[in-house]
Formats: sequence, C-alpha cells, structure tokens
Amino acid sequence: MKLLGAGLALAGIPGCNVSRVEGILPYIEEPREVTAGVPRFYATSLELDGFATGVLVQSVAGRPTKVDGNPDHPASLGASGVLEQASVLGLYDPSRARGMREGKEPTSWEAVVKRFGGARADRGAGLRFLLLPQSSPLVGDLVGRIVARHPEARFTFHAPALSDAPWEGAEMAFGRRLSPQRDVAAARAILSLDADFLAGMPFSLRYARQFAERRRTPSPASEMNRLYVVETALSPTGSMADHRFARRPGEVARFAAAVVAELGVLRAAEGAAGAAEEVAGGVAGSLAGGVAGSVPEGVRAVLMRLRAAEGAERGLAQAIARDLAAGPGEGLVIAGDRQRPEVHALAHLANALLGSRKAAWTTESPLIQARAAQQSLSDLVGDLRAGRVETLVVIEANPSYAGPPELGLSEAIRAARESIYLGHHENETAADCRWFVPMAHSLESWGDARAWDGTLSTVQPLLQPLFGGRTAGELLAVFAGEMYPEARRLLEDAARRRYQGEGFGRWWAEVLRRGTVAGSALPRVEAELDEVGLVEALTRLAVRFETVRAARAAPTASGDSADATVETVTDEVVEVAFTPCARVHDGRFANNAWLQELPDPVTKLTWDNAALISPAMARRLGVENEQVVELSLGGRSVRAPVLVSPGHADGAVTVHLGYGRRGAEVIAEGVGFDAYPLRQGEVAAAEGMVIRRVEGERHALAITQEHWSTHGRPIALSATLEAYRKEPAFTASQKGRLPTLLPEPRRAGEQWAMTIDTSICTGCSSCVVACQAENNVHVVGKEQVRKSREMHWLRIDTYYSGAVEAPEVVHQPMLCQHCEKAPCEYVCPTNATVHSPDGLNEMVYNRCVGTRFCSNNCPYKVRRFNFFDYPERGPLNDELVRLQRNPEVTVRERGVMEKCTYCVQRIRKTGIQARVEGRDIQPGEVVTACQQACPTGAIQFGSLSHTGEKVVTWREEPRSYAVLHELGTRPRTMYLARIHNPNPEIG
Amino acid sequence: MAFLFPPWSNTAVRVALASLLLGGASAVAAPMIYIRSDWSSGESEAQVQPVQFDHRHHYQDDAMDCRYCHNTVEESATAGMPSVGKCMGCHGQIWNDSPQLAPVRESYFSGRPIRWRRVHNVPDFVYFNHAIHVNKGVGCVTCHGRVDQMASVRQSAPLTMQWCLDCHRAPEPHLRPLSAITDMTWSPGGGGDEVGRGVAEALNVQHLMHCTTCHR
Repeated sequence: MKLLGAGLALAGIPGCNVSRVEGILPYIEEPREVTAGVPRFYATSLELDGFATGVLVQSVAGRPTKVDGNPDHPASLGASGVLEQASVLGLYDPSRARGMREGKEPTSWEAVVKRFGGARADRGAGLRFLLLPQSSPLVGDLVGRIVARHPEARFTFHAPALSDAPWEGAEMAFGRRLSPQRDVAAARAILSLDADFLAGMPFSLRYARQFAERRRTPSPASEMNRLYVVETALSPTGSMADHRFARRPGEVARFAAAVVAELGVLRAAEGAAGAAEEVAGGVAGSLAGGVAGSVPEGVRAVLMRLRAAEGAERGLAQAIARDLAAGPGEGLVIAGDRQRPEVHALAHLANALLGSRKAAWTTESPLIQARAAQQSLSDLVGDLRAGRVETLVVIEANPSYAGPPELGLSEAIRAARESIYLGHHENETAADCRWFVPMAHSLESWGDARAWDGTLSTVQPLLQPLFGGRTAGELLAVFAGEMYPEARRLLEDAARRRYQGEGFGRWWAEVLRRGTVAGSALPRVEAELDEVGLVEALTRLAVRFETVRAARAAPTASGDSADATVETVTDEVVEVAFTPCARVHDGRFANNAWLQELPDPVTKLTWDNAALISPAMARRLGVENEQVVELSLGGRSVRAPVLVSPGHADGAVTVHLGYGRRGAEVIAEGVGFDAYPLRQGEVAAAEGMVIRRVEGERHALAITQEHWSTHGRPIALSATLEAYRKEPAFTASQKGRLPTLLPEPRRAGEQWAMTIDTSICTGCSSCVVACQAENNVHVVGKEQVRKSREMHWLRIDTYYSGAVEAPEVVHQPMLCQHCEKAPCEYVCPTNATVHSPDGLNEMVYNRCVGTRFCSNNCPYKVRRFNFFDYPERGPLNDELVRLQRNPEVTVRERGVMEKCTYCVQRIRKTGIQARVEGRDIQPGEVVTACQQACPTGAIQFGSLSHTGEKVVTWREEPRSYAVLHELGTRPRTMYLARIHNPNPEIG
Repeated sequence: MAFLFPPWSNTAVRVALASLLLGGASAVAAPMIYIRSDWSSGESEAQVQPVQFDHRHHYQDDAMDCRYCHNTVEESATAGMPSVGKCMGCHGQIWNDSPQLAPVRESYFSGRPIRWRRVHNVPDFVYFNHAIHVNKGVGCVTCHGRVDQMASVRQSAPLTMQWCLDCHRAPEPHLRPLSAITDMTWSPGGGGDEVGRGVAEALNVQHLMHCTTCHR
C-alpha cells in the first residue's frame, strides 16, 4: 500500500501543470501506518563491493527523499558517508535504463525467463556468471542452487576498486583468508600504511567515530590518540595525522618493514628481560597468535634481515615503534587496500607484536565463496576467447569499462554466444551484451547483505521499481530454475530456512524494522601466526629491498630511463597510484550529479579527475594546474590535466579511477579521463610510468578553493597538545565581548547555535551532500562552478600551513554563521534577510529581488545566488530528480539569494510537534542534516538554553573561537581549534 | 497670421493630459486593487468537483464531525483528504447505486484516485500547518467559513499574507476552546474577547511574526 503513494505522486507530476488549480489525489485505501504529511522511515542497507552499511530512508508519500545512517547498524552508528547520502539521487537518475531488450528489440521478463530458465544439456559447462563481490546469504543460497542444477557453471566475483590484498596478506600471516577487524577506539597510537581508514574503506564510518572518541580533548588535561600516516596523496586520514610521511606507493612497504622490524627488536628485548625476571602472568607483550612473550625465531631472523636492508629511516622507525608499543595493547597498525599483500601481513605481524587484541583481531571473510565453482577473471576471459562460453551473465559489474585492459574484456564478452546484463544503466558492458535487463535500485529491492564485521543486514524496498527493474537474486533464481522468481519471497524463504525456533513471522518483522540481525557479527577467529608463510613472504620482501638497494648503489643506476634523463624538463619516470575516487568510486556513480559536483575532500576538484603531482615535480616539469600531461605505462598512454597537490609524495602520480565513461549516461559523459587503460591487472600502484608535458594543451578544471593559506589571519586555528596545555587560552583574542553601539539582542527561549570541532573533522564531505539532499540545493554544472557559482550551502574550507611538501591541514566546515549582528541584514533593501527571535538569520526567498548586496557584505562568503533557473537547465535538476525534493523546503528560482538556514524546517517541525504536545523542545531533539551525517560527530547543534548539550559545553572549552571575531558579527557558529599531538621524539 | 492650432486643440490637450495622468494612476492602482480582490485570491469562486460532494448534507443532516474525513488535521500539516475507501465505507451500503456516486465507485474498483480540485491553496513557499492551529484554538470555520452551508466548497477568506498576519499579531479574538474546534456555529457569546484571551493563556498561544514561521 505504501507503494501506491509513489504511484500517485508520479501520476501527479505531469498533471500539476495542466491548470492553475492543483489536484488532490487521495488514497484508494489509506494504509494504516501512514499519516498524510508525516514522513516515514524505513531501515534498509546499501551495499558497496559486497559490504553493507545500514541506513534509515525517509519516505514522503511513498517517495524516498533522504538517506541517513542507521544508529543500530555497526557500519553506520547513525552516520552516513558521501555515497550513502547521494544514493537517493541515484534512484532518480535520469539515465537509468528503462526497458529490457534483446539485441535492439524490446523484450519482456517472460522472454528472459523462457530463454535462460530452461534445463541445460551441457550440465552448465557453458554457463558463466560475473558479479560484484557479494556477501548476501541469499545470493550465496542461489549460487548453491545454481551449482546444484548446473554443476559445471562457474562464478567470477570482481570489483575494480576492491583489492584482494587484505585477504592475501592474511593468508601469508595466518595461512587463512581472514578479514582484519579493528576497534580504533582501543588504540592510543595508530600507524596507517596507506590506509584511508577514516573515509575510504569499508567500515570507515565506524572507524571515524571510534577515532574521534579518543581524539577529542575536552580539556587541556585530557589525553588524545596519535596518528601516523604513510601515504602517497593526501587523504582525509592523512590530513588528520600528527605525523604524515609522503612516500611513493612502493616505498610504503619499506617504511612498514622498518617499523615492524624495530617492533621485533623491542619485543625481543622485552622478552629477554621478561625471561630473565621470570615474571609469571600478565605478560604485556603476549602475541595474538598465542606465542607468548617472544617473536618466533624464523620471523625474528627475517625481521633482522629486513632491518638491515632498510636502514635509511631507522631513527624514525624506532621512534614510531616505541610509541606504538608504549601503551600495552594500545598500538594499532592498519594496512591500506592499495598496498601489496606483504604489507598487510606486516600489519598483522605488527598487531600481534603489539599484543593489541582489543584493537585488532580477525574474523572469517563475509564475502561469499563459490569454492570449486569459482573462477578468476582471467580464466573467465580465457574461456570466453576459446569460445567455451555459451551463456554469460553479468550482474551490475562493468568489466568492459573497468576490467583490466590487457584482458580485453569488451571483445571477450562479445565472443560469448549469448550474454545477458543486469545493470542500472546502458553502460559500456551493456553495449557488449545481447540481452539487457534493468536492475532494481537498492531502494527498490528486497535482499540482504553482510557488513564488514559480518552483521546481517536487510535490504527492503521503499517503492516499487520505477522502471520494472529486477534484483540480482531474481535473475539468479531464473538460472536456479524458478519460473516466477519474486525477490521478497526468495528472501523470506531463504531466511525461514535458516531460522531456527518458533515465531519466524514476528522475528522477521522485527529484523526488517531494525535493518539488522542483532548479534550476527562473525565471531573472532583466534588465528595463530603462520611462521612458515610469514617468513616466506617477508623473505620475498627482503630480497626485493636488497635488489633495489644494490641497484641504487651501482653507479649505472636509473639506466633504464636513459631516454627520460636526457630531457628531464619535459618528462620523468615516476610511480603511479590508482585510487578509487572518493566521489564516483570505481565509476559506477559517475552519473550522480551531486557526487560530480561535490568538491573532492582534499583537492576540491569537481566534475573532473586529474593527475595529482607534488609541487616539486610540477616545478621540474614546468607545469601548473590545468596543463595537460601524457601518462604512459606499459605501451598505453592517456592524457590528463595536472593538479598540483600539496603534500603529495614526490616522484609519484596519483590518478583517480572512475572517469571518462563511455556509456549512455548523460551526466557522466565527457567528464574526466579514463585511467583504467594504464592499469595492468588489478594493481593499485605501478612503477615506470612516464609523465610527459604536452606543450600548449590545457584542460580547464573546476576547483572550488584555489588558495590554501590563511595568510596568518586567525581563521583556522590549531595548536599542539603541548602548546595547548601550556597556554589553554590561545584563542582568547578570538572570542568574548567587543565594544558595540548596537543594542544587545534579546535572548529568550531557544537560541539556536552550532559548534564545530575541527580537531575531529576529517573533511570527508558527507555533510555537504547531506545538506544538498535536505535543502534541495541545485546542481549547477562544471561551467558554473568555474565561475564560482556553486550552490552548496555548506562547504569545507581546507587550510594548509607549514611546508608545502608536508603541510599541516585544518578542515573547516563553513556555513552561514547566523551572526547575531549580521552584516547581510543591514544592507538588504527589501528586508529579505532578517533575524528571528530564536537567533536565526532568516532568508525569505519570496521577498528577495536579487540585489546581492547581502552576499557582498557577508565576510564569510556563504551566500549563494541563483544565476539561472537551474531546474529548467538540462538533466542536472530535472524531471525525475524532482521526486527527491524535500517538500519542507522551497525550491528556489532564478534571481534569489539563498544560504544555510540551520535546517530551519527541522527546527520548526520539532517546535510545532513540541507545542502540539504542550511541552518545550527537548535537548538534542533538533538535529541538522550535516550533524546527522557527520561520521565523527564534529558538528553539534542545539539551543544555548540547553546547557548540558555538547553544543554548549564545547563552546565553553578554552580552545573555542569565532571566525572573524574582530568584525563584531558575533556568529552563532563557533569552532574549536584543531589540536595536534605530535610525538616529541620526532622532530 | 492665422492660429496654428484650431480652438478645440486646447480641449484635446487637456483630455490627453488628463487621460495620461489617469492612465498612469490606474496602471499603478489597478494591479494593487486586483491583488486585493477576489479575482486574485480566488475567494468565493466555487470549484466544479468531479463528484458533487455536499458538505451541507454530511455535516448538517448526518451530523458528521469534520475530523471523521479530515482525520489528520490534529497531527499533521495537512488536514487530509478521505480515501475513496472511506467514502465506500458508507456508500457501499447506502446510495450504492446513485449515479452521482459513479465516479467514486469507478475509482474504488479501478484503483485510480479521484482528482479533486484544490480550493484552499497557498503559494509553495508558504508552509501552513493545520495541527498547530487546531491545537491552539483556531477553529475550522475561522479560516474555511461556513462549509456546512456550502453546496460546493469555495474559499471564504482571502488567504493573503496580510490576512494571516492580522491574526498572528492578535490571535485572541479568533480563538475558541478546543472542544468547539469543529463547531460551525460556536460563538463566544457575551464574553467577547475574554474567551479568546482565556484560551490563549491556557494554551500558551504565541504571537509568531518572524518569517520562518511560515516561509522556509
């Protein structure tokens, strides 16, 4: 019944413009749970490369309008990331495929079932499936049923952005493919080896929350954790680091080896001391693998060999190792997806050496394995080329675009006799497949999935598929022999089979309501370090270091790049790192306008990708931003604009994957360059790439922040913990009373205010998308962004200080400050911006005539002007996208100024609710969209009258300050200065 | 030398000047008058509905409370339109072969909703909330007029911002006890504004005049 409403809403859209008189379309039968005009929330999950994040989706009259985190879900804890926030726009993507086809002819689901559902004479020998990695128990069941029916069918799981290295690394360390699990809150010192664990990994939302718990310093006396990051390009995690080391991708392993070797030395010494003292019990240095007190002999030997091979940074490594080991069991080492398996093995070894059983452990992998029926991507391509594939089924994956280039997947898929693609768009792979079935969006699907820690999460639809899409489960069920597969029944049947005990119905209803099965996380696996495997892997690493070292020592070093050395000004041999984009991931979200327009969390680049290089390399090559360079690797080359990136490792280039799409997606068309052709196999980094300046060619980039320094002004303040303790009141000049001639504002009742702790803001930008979704903020497109006409009400200003090679970073979310003495209000000729008695700087669209005086007079530059009727301009804000609009917020038209309202619609709604119930607004009852989304909880909002709330207690901390306080604007938004915690041992 | 202009040209110039002035004045005044008139506000203009629903009959003869059909008025921004199923709850039994109700039956059995024409419409940038008004003593009749006497519903108040603000500045004369919210004939009697003041005090009625009260 709730789906009926969506139908009604859809039916109403074209009708609304027929005449001046609006229509009212009532329900046929009113669903009991629905109150007209009151939104409902449903718990469901979104899956990315196999791992679920629980969300709560707001449904207004049957239309999903906003996605937020599910507080009950371990991967979300109530927060949401950029991709979760933007997923609702993906539902209303104007380029979504709208019909099934065979060849070019439209076809029907019945025809698909008839063609593919029958028995096969070949026992499935010619049947191949290519899917994204899956953790869904339902899909696992169906794979089992297909294998039972077609024993020789084969399954391939592949996602370009999901590296296999964590599991391969675990195999080296433990002899088993285990998933690393972490509790970042249990760690006092953390070493990230190229791991963007605060923003770019499965479970990042949880890690960020945990990290922030130990990061915040409520008073100068409090302790805080310490973060070391080794990485190539600056990431949100790197920007939080107390010590960040910019290294080429290949050097991270050396760094890791050096630190772990020192840890080994430390532990060996402790072990010796412990043995001498014969201390029984409570051995601090006990190993997770059950090897108490000392390092296995073989491992110790190879560590010493690594230590010898890697001597350059011994002092640094010793300091880090000592710090990691300082608090017993409070050190944590996290290896990143981009790193090779040996680095992951080193991280496991390090955590074992540190005895960090609370901070790091392992579980089985939640990803489903088809065991004997599983096939690697290259084997699949071999079969395809050999003509052994009768029927190829591709589900959601886009191998024709993102597959390894040397495999030539596009041609290989065409070689299949029959192929069927289930996907959201008519993309590159769809073009290579004969049959096409539109896929149901997550918000239209029944299904299940597991989170990174294995927690079972349900997927339930908010509305019926808009374009008759089908789920992966339904298509797989066809091959399992079902004539009329229906996703909901498949899911319930599978759940019922697994459920033991009475009362399935009630249990299932509760599971759907919560979105998770409580206590279903995978149990901890007490794995023992596999000495043989570990020694073997580390020996390989040591041999590699020794070879490199020998080559460097030889006088004819770098002979292989002789051509390059002739003209060092025009080209250079470098390492390259391939990174999934924080916005479009591996390319699958490239048609999402919010994500395209979202400034990259670090570079602030929109509507493009670029070759990120260090300032030093830019000087050597004589290039600047927007200058085009040619990147060549393995005989293939692409052209890309340069983006000089402070803090980038020298001698390396970072390129973001996911751009340069060639499918039928309108918004993604012509955006950025495709970096996949450079990538060989699944590697995340490679050596020997040539970067060459292309004379005279430029590519315009739309960047929302072009200068990165505060020029010494007290805008984004920071201090070290030590300095903060010495002088807690270092921000005192930026707050307090200033002399004024104006009358004091009246303060009665609720007085809304916001406090933002820049100490725990990672810059991840999910608040920006959340604001866009909540407040109907238009997308303007690349050309307009280049003219600084982007409409985001909330932006994140990123300020660098210190050396350009190793900058210190402060992220500062900047939004309307709701000044008590607002400069914008004095200059508005039409009184379109005025102050409310509860402390809001109100913006009245219907009074605004667009003089833009207010914007001119705003020192914070947070006001945005509608230069055009953006909904009328092209696909960015048009048609289907209207279904996403928040009905509680006016859609602004041309010539109107707009800005952050502190989510006034939420304040008023809560206020009305409270007054209807005859009570006051309770502390914590009003939550702004940005606050709700923030993974670390850096944004706090509330009334100044609620004195127990964080919004008030935080502003009373010594490090609070107001931006541009000296102007006397008395902003209601206050910031807390960022506190760093550098290691005094490291200079 | 003969006069260049004939004698009537004085009159012509006077008339021309006068009409210029009058024309200018009316060019300014006409829109101002129009925007305040019923033509602009749509007041008193009855809509022809797809079904000739008669509030007189349902309220007076059947003594049904407004909230039987508009059942979300106390908890939601919108008062709510009854589902077709609700109509059929009675009209499945009585008048179940009336030709006037044919569209209702057709809607019910086909699953296609009836498209009612909206009578009370405020601009999209106005966020009116029924629940708070009804819970603070503003009766249905105060804004919607004597719906119980309307053959087909028409707008009986201008719904202009000035009209809204008149009440928001001084709501007391327009308030009534919550027990009389849907009563079409209630009057304060001899009490005058006293009753309204009492209600305002009891329900803690505010005078809200800042912009985001209605515009968001």
